Amino acid sequence: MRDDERARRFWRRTGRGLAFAAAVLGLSCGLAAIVDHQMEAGTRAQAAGASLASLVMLAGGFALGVRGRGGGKIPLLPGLIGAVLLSLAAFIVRMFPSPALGMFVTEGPTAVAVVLRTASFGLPALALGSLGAALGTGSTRASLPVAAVAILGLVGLQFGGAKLLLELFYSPTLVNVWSVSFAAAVCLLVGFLLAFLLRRLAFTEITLVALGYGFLIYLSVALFYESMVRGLDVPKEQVLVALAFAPAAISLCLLAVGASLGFMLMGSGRFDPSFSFEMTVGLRYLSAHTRVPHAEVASSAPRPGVFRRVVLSIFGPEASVSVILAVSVMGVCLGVMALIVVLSVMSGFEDDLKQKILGAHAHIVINKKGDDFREYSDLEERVKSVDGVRSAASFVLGEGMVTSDSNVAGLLVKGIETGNAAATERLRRDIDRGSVDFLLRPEDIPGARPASGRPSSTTADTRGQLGLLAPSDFGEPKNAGVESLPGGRVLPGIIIGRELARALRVRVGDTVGLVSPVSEGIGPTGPQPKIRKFRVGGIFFSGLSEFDTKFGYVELAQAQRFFGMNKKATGVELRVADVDDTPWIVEEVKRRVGGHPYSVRDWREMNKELFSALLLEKLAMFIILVFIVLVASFNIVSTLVMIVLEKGREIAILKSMGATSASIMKVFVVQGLIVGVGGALLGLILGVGTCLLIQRYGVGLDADVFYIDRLPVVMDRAEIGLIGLAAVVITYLATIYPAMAAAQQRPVEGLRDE
Amino acid sequence: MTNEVAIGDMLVEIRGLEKSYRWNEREISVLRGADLDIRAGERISLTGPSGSGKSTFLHVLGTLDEPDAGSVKFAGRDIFAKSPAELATFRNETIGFVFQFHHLLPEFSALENVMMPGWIHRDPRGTVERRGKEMLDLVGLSHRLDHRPGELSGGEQQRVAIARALVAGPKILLADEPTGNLDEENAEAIHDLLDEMNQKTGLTLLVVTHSSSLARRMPRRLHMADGRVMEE
Repeated sequence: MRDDERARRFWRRTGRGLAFAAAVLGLSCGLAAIVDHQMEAGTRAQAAGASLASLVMLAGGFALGVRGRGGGKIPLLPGLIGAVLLSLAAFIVRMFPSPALGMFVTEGPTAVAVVLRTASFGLPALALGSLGAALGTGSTRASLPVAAVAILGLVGLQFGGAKLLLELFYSPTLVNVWSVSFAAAVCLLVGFLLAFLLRRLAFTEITLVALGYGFLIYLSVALFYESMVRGLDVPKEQVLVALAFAPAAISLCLLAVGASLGFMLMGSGRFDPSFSFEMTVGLRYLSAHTRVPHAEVASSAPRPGVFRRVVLSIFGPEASVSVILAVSVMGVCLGVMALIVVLSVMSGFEDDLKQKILGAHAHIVINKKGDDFREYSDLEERVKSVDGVRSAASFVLGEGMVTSDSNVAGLLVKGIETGNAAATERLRRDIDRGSVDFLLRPEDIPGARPASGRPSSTTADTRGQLGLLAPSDFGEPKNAGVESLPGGRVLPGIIIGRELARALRVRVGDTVGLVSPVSEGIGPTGPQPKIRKFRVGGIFFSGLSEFDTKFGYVELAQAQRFFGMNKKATGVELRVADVDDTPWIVEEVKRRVGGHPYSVRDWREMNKELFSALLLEKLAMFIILVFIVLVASFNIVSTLVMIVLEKGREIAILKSMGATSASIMKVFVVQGLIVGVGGALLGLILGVGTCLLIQRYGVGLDADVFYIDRLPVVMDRAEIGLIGLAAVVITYLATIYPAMAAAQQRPVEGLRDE
Repeated sequence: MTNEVAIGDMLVEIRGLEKSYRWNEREISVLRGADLDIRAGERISLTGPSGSGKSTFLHVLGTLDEPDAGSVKFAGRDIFAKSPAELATFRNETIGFVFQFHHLLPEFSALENVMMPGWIHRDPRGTVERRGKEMLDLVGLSHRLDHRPGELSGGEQQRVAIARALVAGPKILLADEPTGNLDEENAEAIHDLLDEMNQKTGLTLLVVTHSSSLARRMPRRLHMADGRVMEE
């Protein structure tokens, strides 16, 4: 008899789920039509189908909700079954495209695209079905007008505000910031108000608002995709899937936070921000070392020392809950610590790279089309006075080859204004041997390697072998360290990177030959390459292999002569005082130099790929590590659920003494927050401590592999603050469910005699 | 909250209480139209066989459980018209509970247990502590303030429970088998204590009990059978 009934109920439920699934399928096909064709001509029938399916969907959900009524629970399961079935059906249809189902046939579907597309139907369909169900459920219990006003308020304020901002300021950034931050704040507020107005944890209403809000956002973006999502380099399906899920989920979280806060503060019928008694009780539950009955008898015995007491309180036989507490705290702590250390090290690498790139490269470069950039010093003067620009220097850049006794290598020769102290600041810092000033006064370059046993005649020999200079240059110069060009002129200086110096096996004072690809004239064997001799005046080490192996710096005039660019420059490079101000400075510089034929680019633009890759990597890392905190927060959930189950009787007693549900909720939220905040603080301390230790003592790295000799660490205050905040918010979210379960427990349940 | 009720005035009017539970998909009717009038200052005992619905009746009367039908008027006001939060305050201010298994909070000392209702009421901590100490003194436990329930004897625990039930000055004390698991000597002491409180403060007593000796001490004796309350 009972089995019969059970079977019947099972089939009834399954039938309901299937009916729901059919409704979902119908709706989603319609939705697909809307999304795919955006109500263009020829799709009117499909649009009509979509509207019909939407109505069926809402009505079906509504009916389910009214019938289900069980304790105000929203029947999400049939919706879930529906969405899964729908996805399967759509998947199969996509695999075997048929002309009859025209809307499913598009160019070559990949598996990922198919999954994404089906999900982009399924998720909003699920949301809509659930919305109907929630409405149905709510019709008996919930305050529908309040929820409806909340949804309309949310959507209206978000879109209205964005529209207004767009009209007033036309700043897409501002609109984006508005949409996100405003929606977040309003979600919190709406949750709070719902709890305040309804005097209970208005969970049905919250679900309603989140689903309705999420769905409206999805729908508006799906319908007006082209005008709303501009310049976003992400496939449409991905955007839609994200939109079908993210707004509802995020607003649900925020609404829950707001509502729980509102309930705790206002749930007792008046504004009651006090946590005093709840704190006492919560703390006592957490510490939970109930003394053994005969402890007092033994009190004449010497009390254990502080250390032993602490150890006993954590690991002793009476500390069953405390061990779990310690584990929960450790979980959050480890997550926060890992986040801080890893992100700081990543910031360190990024910063190191940035420093090197910014050090070696200019922050802003002005180029001119064509090859007659003669007015460079004039331009230099014009942009020098821009606010925030620290230095402006013209440069010449060209390719060449460098030869030494033993080797040949290609290099980029850069002519710089050595006299411009600000422009050469970074190079001066990177100098490992020699000096930048030797470029200006090459006669001061110390003599070639005395240890080699071969005096400077070597260079003369080299010169001879290469046949570079006039025969008159043969013979020992008077000053062993200084070589002269014909006419008593001294060889100009060059500064090269350490790696290049190593490859060429030269030291400061040695002579190298620069070979220019631009031919100087025709010799007996054809075009004669232009060759000039330079003496190594310095060796730099920037830590950026691109520079240390490829760059050679010479005086601007020398470079102009070498490349045959008489009185011409390649460009003007600017360095700014604060690299974060670069965007504004670029604008001003652009204004001053005018447009064509000049082009102005900043370091971000020049290294776009590198920095966006770094950012993406960091974001991925952040998300992965946040999962650690999420896992830790599940630990909190389980700990609290256990305490709630264990303390069922005590909750009932507290309620019998007149504690309100809000009070009980506070008791458990306090416990969760102690774990969360405690763990986050501990993690913060340990994480920052670890970072400081790494900074202070360093972790050695293999310089050949990483091109950096120790682990770089840069602690960003905002980043660390964000990590702490995220951890606390996540743990707070984790406490809501158990705390709510405790608050909603009916007192008689706990008072029944065991 | 409630109007002042003088001794002898009507305090509680219970009409047609019905309550049923589902157990293994079967409906069990526990209360089937229970009626009762209680005047302020009365001492009432309620007896009946196990499972006759005495505890449920007490829980509904104490607003810990909701009836399926019927009304409970307290000083002329329907208490189930109140919101859950108002009910909580009502319990805090008007009703004192004593349960069979004393139901003290094991993590808290005797004094802290007695102070709990005051804390919940958000009274100043100093006042709460003074009142708690006075109350424990009254039940003869001024030397056991800092002991946890686990360190007290059964009789002492029940005294603490009574002190806790009375510390906020309730109008009515609802006791469910207050001496059910005590020996005769301790039970007698508890009975004396309850009588004393009734005489001192005019406290209304409704005691559910199996103990015929306790029932005999009460001027008004009720019997519960078939989900109804009958005068004996």
